[in-house]
Amino acid sequence: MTLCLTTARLNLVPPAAAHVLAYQAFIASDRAAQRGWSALPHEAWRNFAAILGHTVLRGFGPFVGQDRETGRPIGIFGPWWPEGQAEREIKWTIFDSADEGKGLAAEAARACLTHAFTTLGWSTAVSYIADDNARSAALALRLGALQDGTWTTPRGTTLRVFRHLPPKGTP
Amino acid sequence: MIAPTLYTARLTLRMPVLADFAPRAAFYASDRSIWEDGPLDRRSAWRIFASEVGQWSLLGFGPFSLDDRSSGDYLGEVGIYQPEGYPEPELGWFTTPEAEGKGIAQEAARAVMIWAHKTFGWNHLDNYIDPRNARSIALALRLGGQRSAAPGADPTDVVIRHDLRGLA
Repeated sequence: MTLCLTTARLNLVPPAAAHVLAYQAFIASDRAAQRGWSALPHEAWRNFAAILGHTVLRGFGPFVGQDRETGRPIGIFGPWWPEGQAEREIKWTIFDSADEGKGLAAEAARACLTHAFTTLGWSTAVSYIADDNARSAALALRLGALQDGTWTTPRGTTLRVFRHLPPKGTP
Repeated sequence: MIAPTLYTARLTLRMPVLADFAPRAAFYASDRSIWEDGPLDRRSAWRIFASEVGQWSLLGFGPFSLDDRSSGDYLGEVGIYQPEGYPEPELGWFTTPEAEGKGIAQEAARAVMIWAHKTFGWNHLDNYIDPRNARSIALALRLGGQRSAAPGADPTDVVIRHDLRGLA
């Protein structure tokens, strides 16, 4: 899949081998540990490979957002629907806390929402957000999503459901 | 990069697709997976399956799904796997319960070894097998493999090395 999206500050490109180290550094960070993610590098490698495999199997998947000027990978954003997950989701993850607070995730998420509701033809999309992740919840609301109850994963974790509305201008 | 399509007498080897997940999930949900870190729930099975499929993009090799050439039925998977932490690329296999005992994995593994030798110039390929997985060890030896002292994915793995140079 060579599909790319472009925003004011980011190129959203398919995940590739060149992004593995940035992803592993994020997974090893305290911020990832706070989200309950595994910190082992070989586990991170498999998670990253599973993101690429998701795109092959589903025909859509998340993008790596790269700084348009430097090419530096900023985070992972986009459509996500692994088996075992109730609904199609728009995800966002900023790798480095230094890149938070600049509206980059909002910028990427908006482009991904338009992509999902138009190119992919989705009729609805959610974001699943943990109770203690106030920053992501605030972003979901800023994107215009509405709180829509909770979803309990097969492993028993209860997440808040934020339901996105089709972006303006979507048929 | 996706898998090329290979043919043997009875099999088509091809890039995995979403429909291949159901039999893998059933395998991981069953006691058949006890030597492959199972049983595992659907979400864990997806993560493993998707990560193996994603190896094609990252490494240029990965799993081939196996179809019966005459019926089109899905029979299993044979592939080359090297997630981070594996010392070398590994040859692995999986068949559905219906396809067991018919030489399907053996036939496909031979085709994959020939492909790997031609494509990458590798002279050997190893299996990493749980020492209690007697069925898989027997298959590896039947394919002509030899027990090796090389390291596996886990310290307890039985490593069986296949010489690819004489294959054609």
